[in-house]
Amino acid sequence: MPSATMMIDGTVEEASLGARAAARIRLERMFRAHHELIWRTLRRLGLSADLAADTTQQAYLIAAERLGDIRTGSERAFLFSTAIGLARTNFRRSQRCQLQSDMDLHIDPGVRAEQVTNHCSAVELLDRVFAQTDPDLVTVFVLFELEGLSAPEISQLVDIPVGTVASRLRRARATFRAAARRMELAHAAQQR
Amino acid sequence: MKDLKPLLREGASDFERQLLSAAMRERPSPQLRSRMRRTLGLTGPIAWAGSVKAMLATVAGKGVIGAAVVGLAAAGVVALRADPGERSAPRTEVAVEAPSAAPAVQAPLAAQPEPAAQPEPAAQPEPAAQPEPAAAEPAVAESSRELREEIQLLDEARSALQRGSSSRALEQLDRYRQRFPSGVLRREASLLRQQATAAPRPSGAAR
Repeated sequence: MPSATMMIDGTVEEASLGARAAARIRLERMFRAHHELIWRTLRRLGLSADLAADTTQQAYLIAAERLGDIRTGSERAFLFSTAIGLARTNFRRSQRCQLQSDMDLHIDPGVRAEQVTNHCSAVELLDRVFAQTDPDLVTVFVLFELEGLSAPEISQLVDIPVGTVASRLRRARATFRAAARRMELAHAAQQR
Repeated sequence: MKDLKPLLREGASDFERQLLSAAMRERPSPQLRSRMRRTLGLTGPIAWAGSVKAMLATVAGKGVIGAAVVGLAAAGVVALRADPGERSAPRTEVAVEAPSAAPAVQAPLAAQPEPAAQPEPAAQPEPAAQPEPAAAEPAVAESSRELREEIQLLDEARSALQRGSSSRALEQLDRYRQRFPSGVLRREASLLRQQATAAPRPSGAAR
């Protein structure tokens, strides 16, 4: 039995259905376009694959609730900021998974030469570098070096001036390159 | 900064290149991707398989609902920052659009043809959707029914408001408040109420 309002305006239900379908399609597009970038960034911030997926998912759930608030073209900024905020609030650096507290920047004695070229080992090594680095620097580094975003894009996404993007990137690079060099030397020493 | 190029394009050693390339190739596994899609209701023909309430309940089960609230607050800041010109604009658009953003699915809905049936072609192959666990269905269905009712009440209130019947809108909003004191869409209800309260009464209306 339709309500009185429905009888007055029979298009209410159809309009609501259409709007919901449009919302779903928009969310689908957002998911396909951005979820990997968000997940990868969270991974480099130290979250396990599982936690990164949970946090990415949470960001999208919040986006689903606030879809009407998100301006077209601002989807990535909304999702990214939300995901980073969630990661900082919930997981902190103490939640770094798959990393032991006594890990340092030196390569494990057990890691052999051929393992360095192995995908998982390389990712683990990179994460060891980042485990010792300020997350703000890691974020800028990941967006620039791995995701290919420009400085203005990063500036908008992270909500910092372009000059700050540049300075963070310089510091992050210096940290990364120094750590990579140490690992390489340790690796070479093992070969001898 | 303009001249700066990513290390992989310029200046990386072989070792650095290995580390960076490996990280660039990393992607969520098909299982994780599938799990995210399921939770977001992005699987199946009408795949709003759970209401926002049900989905957030799942999130709450993992002990992070508080963070979702924090995230919402942060997200609001982002939305405002996206266009400073609208910083002080009234949130009428939110009231108009937000209920439609709330995903919901129910049996009657599933029986109807889906508007704009399929999402855009995949930019990348997506893993096959996993079927929803049957055990979760009753709770999801109940939650979805409630959300549907919430949406309907707010749609009716909004429709009344658009017709200039603020008193009718307020009646619907009273019903909403009584029925769903902690409803998922209570923020939207509150915004609609503000609009209805502020709306000029039609000429001849009792004062």
